Amino acid sequence: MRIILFAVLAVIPPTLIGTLVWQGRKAPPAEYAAASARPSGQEADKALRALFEPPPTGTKIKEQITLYDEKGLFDFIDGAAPIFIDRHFRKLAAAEIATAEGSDLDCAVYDMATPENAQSIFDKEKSANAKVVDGWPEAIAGPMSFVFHNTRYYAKLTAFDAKAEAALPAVAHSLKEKMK
Amino acid sequence: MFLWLRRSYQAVFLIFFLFLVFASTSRFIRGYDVQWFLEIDPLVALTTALSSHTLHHALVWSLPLIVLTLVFGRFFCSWMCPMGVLHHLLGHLGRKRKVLQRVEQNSPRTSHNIKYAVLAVMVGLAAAGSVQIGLLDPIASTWRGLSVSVLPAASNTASGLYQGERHFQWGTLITIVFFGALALNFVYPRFYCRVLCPLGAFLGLLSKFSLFRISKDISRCNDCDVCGADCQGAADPMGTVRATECMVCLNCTKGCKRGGIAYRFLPALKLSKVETDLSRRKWLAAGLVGVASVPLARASDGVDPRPNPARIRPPGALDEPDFLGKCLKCGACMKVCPTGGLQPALAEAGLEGFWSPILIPRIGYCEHSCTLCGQVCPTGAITHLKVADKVGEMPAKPPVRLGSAFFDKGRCLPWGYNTECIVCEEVCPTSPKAIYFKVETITARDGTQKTLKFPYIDLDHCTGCGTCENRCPVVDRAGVRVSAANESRSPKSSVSLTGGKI
Amino acid sequence: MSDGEQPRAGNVVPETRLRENGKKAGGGNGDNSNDMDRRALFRVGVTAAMAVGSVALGLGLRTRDGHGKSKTLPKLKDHRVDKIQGAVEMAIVRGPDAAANVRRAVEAMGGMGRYVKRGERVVIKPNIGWNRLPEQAANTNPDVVAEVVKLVAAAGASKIWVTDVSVNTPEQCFARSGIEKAAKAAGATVVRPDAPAFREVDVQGKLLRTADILFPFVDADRVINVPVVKQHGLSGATMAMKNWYGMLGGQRVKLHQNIHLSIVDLASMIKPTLTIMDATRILLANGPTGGSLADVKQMDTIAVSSDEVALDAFGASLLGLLPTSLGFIVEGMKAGLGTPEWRNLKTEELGG
Repeated sequence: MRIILFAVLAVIPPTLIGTLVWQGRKAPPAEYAAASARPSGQEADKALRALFEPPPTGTKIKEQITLYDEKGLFDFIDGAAPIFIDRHFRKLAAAEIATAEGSDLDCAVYDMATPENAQSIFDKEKSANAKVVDGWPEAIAGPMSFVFHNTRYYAKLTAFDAKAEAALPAVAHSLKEKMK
Repeated sequence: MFLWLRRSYQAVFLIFFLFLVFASTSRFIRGYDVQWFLEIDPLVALTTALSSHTLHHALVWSLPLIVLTLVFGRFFCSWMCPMGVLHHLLGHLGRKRKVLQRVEQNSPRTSHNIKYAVLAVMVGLAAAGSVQIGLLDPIASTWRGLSVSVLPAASNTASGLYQGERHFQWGTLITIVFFGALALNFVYPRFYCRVLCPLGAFLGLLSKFSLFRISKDISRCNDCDVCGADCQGAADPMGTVRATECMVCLNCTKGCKRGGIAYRFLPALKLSKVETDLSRRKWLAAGLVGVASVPLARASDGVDPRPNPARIRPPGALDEPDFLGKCLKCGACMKVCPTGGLQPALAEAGLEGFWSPILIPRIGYCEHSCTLCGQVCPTGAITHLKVADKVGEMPAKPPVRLGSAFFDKGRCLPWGYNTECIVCEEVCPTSPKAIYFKVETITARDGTQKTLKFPYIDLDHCTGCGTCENRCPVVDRAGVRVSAANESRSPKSSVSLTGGKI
Repeated sequence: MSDGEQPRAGNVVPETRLRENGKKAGGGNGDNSNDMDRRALFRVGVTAAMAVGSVALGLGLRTRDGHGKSKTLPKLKDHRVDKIQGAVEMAIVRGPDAAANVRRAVEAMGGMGRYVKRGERVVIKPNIGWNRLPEQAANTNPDVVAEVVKLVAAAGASKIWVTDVSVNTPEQCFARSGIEKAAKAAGATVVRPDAPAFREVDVQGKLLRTADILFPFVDADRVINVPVVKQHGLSGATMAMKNWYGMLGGQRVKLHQNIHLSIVDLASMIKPTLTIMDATRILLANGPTGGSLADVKQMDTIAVSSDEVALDAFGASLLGLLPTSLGFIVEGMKAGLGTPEWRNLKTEELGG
């Protein structure tokens, strides 16, 4: 009896301490490096392009996708650029796509580096009386336009005729599904 | 046989404790639960739960110890407690040679009731919202003594443990208290454990219900008193064993050659004494002293009426009243801080905040993406921030601010002396930088035109990390200094309108 | 080794010896084994209960890192009444009797019964910001406040609060302005801005997300703004819209970092039922504290409207200021709170 008790007690400290030490060795100090765990430039560019490869359901790309960085952004949207840059805008992918019926759509997807920034630019650009889409609070449908944000991306779709305008929500959904 | 088991437990746990102390430096810490001993300390759990009405998740480790003490008695004091082991070892220095003299040394004394009064005062303080247990808790005191006094001294002399020299303001006070407690063993062995230790008192109270106890076999006893010669707890094994004092060191069982005393399951009640000698009135009085002290102390110092600009708390610290209800002053954060900037407060945080951690940027700044202090804090007084939350992402998400920097334009080199500098701007770690400069042209002493960069602070981006103050070339009182105003943990402290809360 | 020979120091407790007692009672093996079993069970039971109890308590209080549960904060109600087509939108009354002016102006606007229904709880917000006497025109005229209280009481309100968050010591402001005495005499409950009277409110303004606001503004059914017209160093003037500073606690001084937008933010958050602007005595210079009677001008005017921008524009003209020179009036107009062209409203002016 006493032998068993002795054995049990003898085994407890090494087991206990061993577990604690082993657990500690394995885990690195939490997140010393996590703050910089964002995709590198090249990886992010690839991810951005990949949103259009393949293009959204029922559309095809008319010209090749163009990527714009900070400088290029001024060429693309001129005076509106500073509010994007303030929010750590990283890259813009601009695409001209066509629906199956041949209507044109312009598509601009902004990589804002973090979801918070994407939300921030979405809030900044929306007009005071804009209403969100039913069932999709991160999207706003306007006349001839559809704007939404998802993960770190902010997307603006523009249509030029009624048929293309009708296709906007579906195209936007398809694009949203690919955003990780 | 079990005596040797006890001795190996003592050795193993002391070594483990020292290992954890050494491991809690930024270089070695990895993911070790360095505060395990404080997490199993039931008094830490009790007092912080009383004052904050919550139990920090790590402190549930103390529950098994409470259950074990309820069953086995106050074994912690001689099997696991690091302070206990140190005192047990030092007790040998003060040990008399003759058996009779030792019996007398290890006899119960009325002063042994003081620890119950200490416990009552501490519990009273905690109930009123002020946690001061860390000042006398053996584990917190040992940790603090080693972290703030012994290890820095060793490191500064023999080098190697820390990158540079380590200094803690008025650490000598901590040294005196720590070694003073150890020196009391020359009065009689385990003076601290018997007279002052509130944890011993608490575990002793739990031992009132213990199912296993030391007790005599009267038929074998010949009253030789040898069992009392090496009694660690001064539990009077020759008479009715005091269950609240007995530390289950088992020395008495070794002393008795006749098998007259043993550690038994459910010995007869009359063989042990479970009442403390502290009268009910004295218990109540001590408790009331504790409870009443808090509003009295706060009426004089207050927590916030004139916030001290030097009371810069670590990143992730709770708002001040909650912080004071949880901080043990154990010194773990001060020890692990990679720059040595966290220092024990003297008057900066008032009487209640004595020895609680404050950042002194002149000594060490807060590393931008470091959250080690929150990682080691055992009670959650400093919450463990995610680095992404600490750093923030302007403008969408503001960072955690410890305070804000302000220029002392009479001491800053460009402002006060028209001399080029801008070191503060250079080392400012935020993106975009919280210190920016404007280039201006001034007329120098010799009449020539000189262009200089003049630094300015952007309050919205400044996190109060103190890197600027730490690197400012004006070495004594820097030309740019951090003060606690605008710290993000306290809505009342904010200076800038950005943030949406007044 | 007998008892009496051992040396004793200081406070050593005399030993207890069990030898005799033990032998008498029979030692470890009890006479009564049934009793011993029951007692043993009891002891085990007590210990077990304590163990279970402490574990349960510990686990019950357990939390993860965090700052406590988030609570749902109350919001401010919309206190406005429905507009009536063709009704008077602004009433301006001049005359030597301030109380009569108030009566006539409110009558012209449709009578207090249009704004306050029987049984409703009403908060009246005068300007009681400063430790000044009524003649110094730093606070609202107490006679005006008293008359408003009487009219609201006559309309059948179940509760009338009169309150403000003073800048100087509230006790003295409430007393020296004469408002506390006048309001109480008229039947109102005067609320001091002590710490427990504030609630955290979800205001969702442009500059402020949450704010500490005096409870009557959260609880009342109707809110009546009773400002006084004064010059103000930072904003130019302080009249109807800026009077809403007085519902805030906390560090509201920080709003001065963006004064005009914050005035408009406040005036957007709270939608009062009616504003009764006191221009009996106005402060022309050294506002908002004033002090010297030389800065005070007797205008004997009361203006009432639901459009605070229009009232402020009117007040600006009394101060000799161009309404569009005041940033908060321009921003207020832009935010859709009202129009500075008060003359374009359906106005009724009664001379004296």
